[in-house]
Amino acid sequence: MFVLRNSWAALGRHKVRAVLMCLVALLVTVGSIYGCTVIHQKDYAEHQSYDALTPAAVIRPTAATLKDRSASDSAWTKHYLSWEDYNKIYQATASKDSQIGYTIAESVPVRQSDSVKAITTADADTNENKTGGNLTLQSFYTDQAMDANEYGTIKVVEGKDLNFESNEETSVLVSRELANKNGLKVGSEITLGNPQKASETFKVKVSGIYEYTDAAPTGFGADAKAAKDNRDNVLYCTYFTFATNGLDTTDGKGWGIPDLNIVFTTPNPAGYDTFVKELRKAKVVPDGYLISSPTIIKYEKSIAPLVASSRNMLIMLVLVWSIGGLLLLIMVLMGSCPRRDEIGNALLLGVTKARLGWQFMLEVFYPLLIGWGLGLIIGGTTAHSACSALASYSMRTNGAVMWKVVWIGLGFTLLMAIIAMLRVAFFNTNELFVSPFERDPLEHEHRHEFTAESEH
Amino acid sequence: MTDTTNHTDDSKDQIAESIDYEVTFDDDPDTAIPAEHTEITEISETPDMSDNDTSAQAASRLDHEMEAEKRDVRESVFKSYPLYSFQNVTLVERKSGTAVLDGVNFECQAGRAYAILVPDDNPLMHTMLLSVMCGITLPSSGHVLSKSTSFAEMAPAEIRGYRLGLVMPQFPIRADLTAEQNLLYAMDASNRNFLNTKSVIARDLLKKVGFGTSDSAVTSNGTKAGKLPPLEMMRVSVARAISRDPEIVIADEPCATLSGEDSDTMIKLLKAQTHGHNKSRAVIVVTEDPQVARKVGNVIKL
Repeated sequence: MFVLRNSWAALGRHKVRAVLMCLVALLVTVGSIYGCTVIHQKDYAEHQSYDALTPAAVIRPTAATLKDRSASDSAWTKHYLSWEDYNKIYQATASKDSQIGYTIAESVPVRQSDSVKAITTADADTNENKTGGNLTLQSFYTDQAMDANEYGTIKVVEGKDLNFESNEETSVLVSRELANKNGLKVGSEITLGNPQKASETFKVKVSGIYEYTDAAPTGFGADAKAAKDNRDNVLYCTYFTFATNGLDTTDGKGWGIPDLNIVFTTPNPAGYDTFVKELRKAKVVPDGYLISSPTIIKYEKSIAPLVASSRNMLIMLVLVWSIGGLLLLIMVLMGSCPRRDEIGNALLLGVTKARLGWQFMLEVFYPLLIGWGLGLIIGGTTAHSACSALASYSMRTNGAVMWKVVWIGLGFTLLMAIIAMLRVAFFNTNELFVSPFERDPLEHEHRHEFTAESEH
Repeated sequence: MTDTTNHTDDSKDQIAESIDYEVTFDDDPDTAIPAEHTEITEISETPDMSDNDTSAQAASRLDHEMEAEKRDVRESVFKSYPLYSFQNVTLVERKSGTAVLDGVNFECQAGRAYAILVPDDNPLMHTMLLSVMCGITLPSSGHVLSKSTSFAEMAPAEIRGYRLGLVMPQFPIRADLTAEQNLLYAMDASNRNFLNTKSVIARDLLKKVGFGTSDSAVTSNGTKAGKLPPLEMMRVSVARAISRDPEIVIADEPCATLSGEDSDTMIKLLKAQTHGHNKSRAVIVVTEDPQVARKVGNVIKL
């Protein structure tokens, strides 16, 4: 009771310091939970989540190659990779890795009609005889191919998504902007013209209306040089719809030649790296083309705010731990060092160093453990929402982070308590009887060295 | 080695013989040897018996045996269990091999005040003597005894918790507490139960030591002890020393910070503590000042 009563009384005599210690402990704990949560999430995203990806690999023209592209000159279609090119590429890797698969994405420009007019801008070329059409029909063979869409990621907001299993009807998805401009609704029928022959038209049904969930790549938004390159003028369909309307042709000419994109599928990021390595080794990728993974690019883009935030959090953690730790250390020292008078009096009254040391430790435990406990509750309950808002990334609640903060907090509190206790441990009991009226007779190197005696 | 002066009676001779250091007794009735102790020397005669009266012989023999038994008990208690004693206490500095204390012997009885006069040119002896007297340092050889128990066999909480009451110039009282809080702190530290409320005991003790009588501005629970005048501070220190009702009170240089008049008051106050509410105490003043030692009386010179 003596120890409990006096430790509590000692805190009561220095209320401001006790409250400050509690507050600093609380802030450090909350900051630690936030910082550790973001950093842990970033590590998780960069390792476990990343390793779980099944990257799609595409071979696309490099930026230097695209620089020469002309949307109004069909001669550009000579740069399209053919089935033969892709066959060589696949052969170079499939023999080494049986897990490499593929799917198809194919597109051609299509002409507008009275039923559907493209979105145009003043700078965009709208001469369909030169561009092959003001709209683009982009087909996918599977979901995976759709995931690698070079125009961006879409979300169907009305109607139904593409059904890759169905071969019963020919339908397309149209953008919200195009639907609004033309008054299109789900179920509307539109007429599209063949890029090679304006007289050849075909009808498709609008099965759904989509919106993009990301920003437009350069040259495919309002800055497009031709109306067909504006991604809001892109109609998405299944490979069945595309082929049924005679667009998947091997004898097409001009803009009638389909832009074939084989999307390779790899089992994991390591498999993708091996895929890239094998292709480079086999030298089957034509000059001016680049192997890339839209899956990885999209994923890295999605975690970019998290990575940036984790860097900031690391700096914040270093500052919080160093400043907070220093402040607490100063307050612990202030609370224990100037107490020579109290220690001396207590020892003269028969209080042992062990009891007094325990009292000093309790004086550190109370404010730090209260602050640390409140910090755990506040940090634990708000970490998910706060960190998600801070990092612009949906966080997972993680028990490991909480346990880490629990152990670090306990360890730090114990360390501070031991430092406070050392003040008592290092009190020289011989000082108790040194006369304050004359020079300290024990002030020499043999200070404690008396035979057979011990401190009692 | 033994040099006894100013002897007043035989019993004092007996006591002095057991002390190896110079002891001077005073005639102060407050500090004189209690009558029950002096009686011991009077029960030493052989009983007078008649050869013809066997019943009277038997009765006389029985009386004699009973008296002898009583005498043995009293003498054994008196001689074997002084309230506080040093028995051949030696303290040696390890490296130099110098004996700071060399075979020190003295005994202190209940109800008396003693002055231990230490040389003023040997502060190390002064410091280490106090350390050994208070059980902080155990001697290299010999024993410090409280009655028959050596300090080496006692826990610090027992020695300084309630066997000894200390008045030390370095740490007379806690400056950050009030006078009453100082006493409460001391009583709490002893881990003992008290028959009355501690705060009532504390106020009563402060009243008994005359706290606040010389300066009405100070109050027992309002003024921090660090701001008290020197005499008031020493009064609180004495009250704190006796707050756990110890059998022995040790005061080191109690008059060092006091003026002549206050010094006398302080010595009187200390000597008054030889007789507590329901027990007699030994009050030991350790000093380098011969005048203070003389005022206390029963001087033990080292």
